[in-house]
Amino acid sequence: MRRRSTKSAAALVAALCLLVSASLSSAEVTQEGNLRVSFTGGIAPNALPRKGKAPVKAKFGGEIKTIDGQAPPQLREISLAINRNGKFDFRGLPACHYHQIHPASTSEAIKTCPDSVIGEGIFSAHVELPEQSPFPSAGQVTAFNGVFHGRHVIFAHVFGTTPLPQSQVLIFDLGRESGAYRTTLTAELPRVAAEWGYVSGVSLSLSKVFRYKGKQRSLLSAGCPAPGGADVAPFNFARASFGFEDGRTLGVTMTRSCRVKGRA
Amino acid sequence: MTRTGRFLPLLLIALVGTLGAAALGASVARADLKFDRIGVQLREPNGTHSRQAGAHSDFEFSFSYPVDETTQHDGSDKPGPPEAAKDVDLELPPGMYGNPTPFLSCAPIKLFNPNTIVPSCPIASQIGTVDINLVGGPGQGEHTVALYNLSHGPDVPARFGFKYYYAVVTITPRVRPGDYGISAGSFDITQTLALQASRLHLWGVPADPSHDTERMPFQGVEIYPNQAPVSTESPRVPFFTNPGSCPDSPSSFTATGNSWENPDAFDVRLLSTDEEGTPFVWEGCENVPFKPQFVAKPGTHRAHSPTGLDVQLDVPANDGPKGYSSANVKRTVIEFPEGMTVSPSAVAGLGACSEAQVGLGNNNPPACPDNAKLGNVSIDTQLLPESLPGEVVLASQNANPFHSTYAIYLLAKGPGFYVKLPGELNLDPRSGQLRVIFDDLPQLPFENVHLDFRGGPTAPLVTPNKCGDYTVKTEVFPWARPTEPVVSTVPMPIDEACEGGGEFNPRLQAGVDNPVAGARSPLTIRVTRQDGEQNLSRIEVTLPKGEIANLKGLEVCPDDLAPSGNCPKGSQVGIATSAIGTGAFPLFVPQPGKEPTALYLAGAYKGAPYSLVTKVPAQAGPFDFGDIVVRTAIDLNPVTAQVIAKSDPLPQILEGVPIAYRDVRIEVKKPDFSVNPTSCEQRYVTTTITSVDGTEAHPSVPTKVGDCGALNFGPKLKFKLKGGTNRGDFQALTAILTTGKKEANMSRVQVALPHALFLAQEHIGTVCTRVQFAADNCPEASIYGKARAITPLLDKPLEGPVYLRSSSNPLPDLVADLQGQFDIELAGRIDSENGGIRNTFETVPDAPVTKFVLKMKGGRKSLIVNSRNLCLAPMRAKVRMVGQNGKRHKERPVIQTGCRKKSKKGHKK
Repeated sequence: MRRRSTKSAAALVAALCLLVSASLSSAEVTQEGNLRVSFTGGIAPNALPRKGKAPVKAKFGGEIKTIDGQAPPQLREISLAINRNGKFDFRGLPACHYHQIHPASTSEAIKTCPDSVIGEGIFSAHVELPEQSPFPSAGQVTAFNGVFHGRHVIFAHVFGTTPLPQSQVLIFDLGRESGAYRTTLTAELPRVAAEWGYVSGVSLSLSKVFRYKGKQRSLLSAGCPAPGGADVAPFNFARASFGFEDGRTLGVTMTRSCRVKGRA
Repeated sequence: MTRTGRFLPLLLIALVGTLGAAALGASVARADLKFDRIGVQLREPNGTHSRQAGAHSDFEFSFSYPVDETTQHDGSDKPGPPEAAKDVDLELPPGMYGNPTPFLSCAPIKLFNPNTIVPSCPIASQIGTVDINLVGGPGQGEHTVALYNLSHGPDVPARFGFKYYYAVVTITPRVRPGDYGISAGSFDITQTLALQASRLHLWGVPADPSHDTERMPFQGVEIYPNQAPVSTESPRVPFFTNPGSCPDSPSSFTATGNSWENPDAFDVRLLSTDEEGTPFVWEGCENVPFKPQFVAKPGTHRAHSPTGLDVQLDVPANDGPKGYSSANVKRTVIEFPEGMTVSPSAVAGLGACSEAQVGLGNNNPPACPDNAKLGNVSIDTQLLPESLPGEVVLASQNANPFHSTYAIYLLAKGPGFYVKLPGELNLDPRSGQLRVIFDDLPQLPFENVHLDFRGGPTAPLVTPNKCGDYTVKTEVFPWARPTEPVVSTVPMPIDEACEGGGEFNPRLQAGVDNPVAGARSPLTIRVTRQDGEQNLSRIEVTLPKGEIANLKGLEVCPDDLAPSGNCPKGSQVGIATSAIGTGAFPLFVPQPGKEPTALYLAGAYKGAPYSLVTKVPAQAGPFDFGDIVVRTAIDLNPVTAQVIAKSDPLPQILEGVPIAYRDVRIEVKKPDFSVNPTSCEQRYVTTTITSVDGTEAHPSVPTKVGDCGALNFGPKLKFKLKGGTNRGDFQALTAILTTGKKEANMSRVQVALPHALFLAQEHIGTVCTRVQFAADNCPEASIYGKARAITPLLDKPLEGPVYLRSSSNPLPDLVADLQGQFDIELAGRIDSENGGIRNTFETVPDAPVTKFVLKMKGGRKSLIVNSRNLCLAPMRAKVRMVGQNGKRHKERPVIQTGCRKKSKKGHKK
């Protein structure tokens, strides 16, 4: 029974990822030197009310490559700032603690903090040990609402069995800024397989609809700030950057568009 | 001539002497006998002195004893001889000889002719004259009589004689041992004549007309001056010949004489000038002819075959009455072609002749053992009517005139003398090329010397490996011109059985005496090589998996003794046997009665932890070349524990004799030393055998033991974790494997850990690359544990660090680098099974291990982290083991943790 649930969840995650990718598959590519990062992301649905906000799902991702085939430097920091028209609402969400989900398999982590799950994604890396054929290391990402050392954080729990059973938790600190981008998510990444590995891709989609005090709430909600008379409005969805071991930081501002839901 | 007829003359001569001796007692003794006059003269027919080398001059030898004028011999007033010659002997210088063979000989009985004072010898048998002066007695005064060539028995080379009145005096030449000069003497000269003085004339060419007036007339008693010429039917060929060499210093004659009155007082005179004071310095050597011819024929023209040899050296004589005799051979050097070498096969059962047995320098019969004979020799000389038969024998190693390893003697028997000629065999130490040198040969003429070395499988020589137009080079040096050799090159084609010279197909045999799984059994490895193929140079043998050695408690040859092979008996593990040589009967070493070979276990050598010392006493036949010691490095394949034996280069030549290996056999037969595999699958003894030309061959033979089913297989594996029991705690894992007796060895073991244990990837510091591992240079950070293996075959456990090492698998391997008497690396493949960490040792050496302990580090070096609280439920590992005998064993052992056991009441202890 549990296995069937797990399979269903995995299928759902895949379908959602595919859906998001299909609806918001545009990517911003940036390059410095031989290092190239493709940032992806967006929200769904993109038909949103002109006034007020509606629950949305947001996806953020990045793919890391080099143009000369060399191994990319290790990814050490992920930083994400989300447009002020998107709003996080953690009220009423139970928080999970680090030691509850690490080390643990995905199912064990979800089993431990089932109500704190706020998203999922995938994580891929390559390990190139000396004299060893490179081998991929892939894992499933599960996002938890969490508390770490008293701070409100989002845990990105990574678990994979390829090549060996192992888990890792990325801790996204939540911050607030003034201006166009209010909410920030910042995580420092540990080294992958000491000095021998590198992250090749990471994606995370966040969404959670839950009830709190009798009301239905959404982890993320957004509106479409289109000017009067216009049904579609472009907007700067998020500002994302990856910081690397060698000191390079590659970032982009992801511009997306929304459509006014209902009559203008 | 009948036996009686041959000995009758000798009897008569002896009788004459005996009668003389009987009269001796009546004489007056003197203690200071001196020749009154003595001399030698060599003249040309025209009367001038002759010093031309090789010329045929007339020879004179004269002597007289003093006459004491005051002594009356018979009471009359005439002076009497106080001394009468008894023995007179003259040594001619080497190279000077008379040749009686062409001339008619006179039977002694005809010379003695007892019924008359007239000798009845044929005129043609006269070879000179003798002037005698008799004092007292019958015939007193001076007389000239004929000197005849007498027939003689087989014990002397010649005999001459003369008669006056009823008395006969004989002169017997002999060949001196040593310098092979000619001496001639008259012994026990009759006193009937009271010989006081004599002058002996030997004619250079007896038939020369200049001697016609000096011949004894028919029915004559003596020769008178101015008598009528007497012709002869004798051939006009030389009788007497001057030496054929021209040394700077004069030659000398040695005359010795005594008297009946003083038989023990010898007067010895060295005569280096003639009576006119002209020294005997020979000259004109450049005019002496010398045209030797050399022929050498091998017994076979087949390549790479034992062969006899037929060698002939001809020196044509110059028999003309004019001119000079051919020069005699002083030195001969025969250089055989490269590739034609001495055959080791020849020495099996061969003996050698010592210097004492040969008796160089004396005239005793050689007493060489029969098995020292290498062939026959025959010498034809114009000086003797028949060939001199003899043998070629091997000389004793070093104890020969050259102090050389190899030498031979040519031993031939002549009438009354032995020819004993030492020849040096010079073998090139690198190629084995053979040179035969005879030096300082006798200054006597020969027309032909024929050496016939025996053929057959044990022939002394071996033809070259490959066909070709080979040649034998000879240098023949004459006494007349010792620095001007006549050089000739004789073809010696090898043009049969040419195939096979370049091939290399060695064969391998290997096996154990008792092919039972896990048993202790002697092991034999044998490499053979076909005759004619390239020779063996190196042998590398890899034993099958599981064919290993028990080194526990074994004595090892100390490092300081191993190079010499003088190892203690306790370190001997076997013997070695080899066969070397060419042909059907190679030489097997060791030979019966010789020192045995031995195979010793020694210590580290050429990077390998052990070595074998093969000691082969190089003793064969009469030769002893000491010990041949070959080291063989013994290593272990660290992965399979297969024994790898790499020999040093095998000696290719020993004391100039190429060692053509035909059979190399190693028998490891020390009890309980060699251990069989516990796997009954077919395995192989593999080899890399290298030829002298660098060609490699890889013969292998399958080996298989049986009765594997009789071996059990049920090892026990226990696991223990040391560390916290909470999620996220790191663990130190200990695995302990134990085996029972009479069990098959482990072949494969796989351990899957439960899901509760994750990889602590953050603790992967680094891995050891294979390059670093091979160089024993792994970084410290790549060590994640340690391991220890206890085997009943070694004195000490094998132990060492456990690394993460790069591999061909997706993940690095977990490698236990076990070190000790041997190094073993036990590599485990890491992967996952159903989400759990799994390690598989796919290739476990087929070697007995009673206990194996693997300890992985904990704490910050731990590779294992709890993914849950370990105390929630017991954890079991999944263990699958396969024995070398194919038996399988599964276990689900509980992993011991730090969790306290619950009491029966449910409380934790």
